[in-house]
Amino acid sequence: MRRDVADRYRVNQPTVLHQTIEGETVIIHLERGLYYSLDETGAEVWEGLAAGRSSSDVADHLAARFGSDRAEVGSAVDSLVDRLRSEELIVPVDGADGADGDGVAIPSAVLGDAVPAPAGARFQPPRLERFGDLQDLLLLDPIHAVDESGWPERRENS
Amino acid sequence: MIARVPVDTATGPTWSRREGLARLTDAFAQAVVHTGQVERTYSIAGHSVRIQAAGEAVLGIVDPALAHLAMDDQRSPDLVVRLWDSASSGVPLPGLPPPDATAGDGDRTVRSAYHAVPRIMSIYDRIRRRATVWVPDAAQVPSNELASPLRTVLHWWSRDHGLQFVHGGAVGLDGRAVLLAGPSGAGKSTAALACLLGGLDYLGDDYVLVGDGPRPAVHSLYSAAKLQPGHVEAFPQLGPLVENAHELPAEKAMWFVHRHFSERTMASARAVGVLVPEVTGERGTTIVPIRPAAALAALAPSTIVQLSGADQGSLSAIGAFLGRVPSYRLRSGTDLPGLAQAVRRFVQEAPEVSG
Repeated sequence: MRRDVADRYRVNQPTVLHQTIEGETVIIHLERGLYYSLDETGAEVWEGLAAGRSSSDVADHLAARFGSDRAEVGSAVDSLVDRLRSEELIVPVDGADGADGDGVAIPSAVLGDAVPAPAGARFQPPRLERFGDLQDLLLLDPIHAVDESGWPERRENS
Repeated sequence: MIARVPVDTATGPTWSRREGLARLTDAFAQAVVHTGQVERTYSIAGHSVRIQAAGEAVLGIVDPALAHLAMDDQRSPDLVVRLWDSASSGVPLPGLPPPDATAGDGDRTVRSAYHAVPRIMSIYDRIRRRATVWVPDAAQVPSNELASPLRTVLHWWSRDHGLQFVHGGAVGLDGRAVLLAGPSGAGKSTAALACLLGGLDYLGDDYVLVGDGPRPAVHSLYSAAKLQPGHVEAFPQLGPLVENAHELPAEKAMWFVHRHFSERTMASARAVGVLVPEVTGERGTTIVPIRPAAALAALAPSTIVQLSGADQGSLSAIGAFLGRVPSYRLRSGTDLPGLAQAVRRFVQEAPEVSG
């Protein structure tokens, strides 16, 4: 199986913030005022990518965990990666060793030796939900609105 | 077109924030010559914060919301905020410092932010814990700013104490409290006011501080409460007490809780739960466990997009808090006394969160 070392990504920092809690991930895109949630499978993909794993490695891992068809899992992972890229949440990295990952230490239980999923659990394609309810907030309160030199434009001698 | 540029990071020559702080503070000193200086000290999360205001009108921007935390303490404060305006003092906002090729990435020990609407300039020296804040006219500060003054400076300062500013309310009893988490419109304020009128103590409805540590805590910042004008009729006893009737219905109705319920404000409490309100349209209220990621999605994004300087550390701090304190959906019913009872029972019966 070809492992494509170019298929590595990093989190689009510092614009994108992320936090995984009990296996689910919340992501915030500061510039666009959008936020996202990833279900457990999606969170595993995300954490793997953020740690510098290739999407191919991540798919291998998930297929082993669930004892699922590698092609089916690979297709689902690729779909999620495409969506994460189009939402500007991850960006590709170059480099043979793909060492531009987030530097987050991933415990082996999340992405090391594939711990088998609970008996009867089936691989479900990862789900990414997007929320746009805060965009108005961002546009209405331009905290960071400054002129090019970083100081507010003084309009009156008050 | 105004560029959206984070003020705290920059590339290339930019103005020196330390020089900007010096100019802004010198202007404050000039303002005080004209207006006199009035001081108040407040206890926020157990730390003393002293406001030095250039005149009573300027003090009036912050004191109403913070008065429940006022303390009489002459010891050296942890934070000093010098606050002035141009209208009272006749002193204009000083000219900007010249570009400084050495400023480069920005002096990380000095933070600055300019809010364009309403106009507020805030600069904070992290090492000395001294801030200077300017507004054009104290008499023109809108009520939603009076309800939560100095958010930017208090956010920066609280971070240096390992505390996290959050967009949420809190109510409690006997040293224990629940955080009410959720974006605007979720029902935090209605729940908080219902709980106040139902006998619980009030820590806030819009912004509070949370802290991790051996016992996760929630700390009051502001005693203000705000409601959409259409919701005021659910609280008939509060209608006559509105502070800003002249601004309705264009603005939210605002109260300062301590003015009318002075014994029912609470400065700090141990956090025993995070409640995420949801309006159901049903009569009764129920409280059901939810996964912490749901609480994180309710609490973190609206917190972070509003706060100057919020970053990955902020999100991680919120995540750490939610990893310790259990989360629930507060399925809010239309029977508001019943809602208060449900929350009261929860606060009384929830187990303590320990390390």
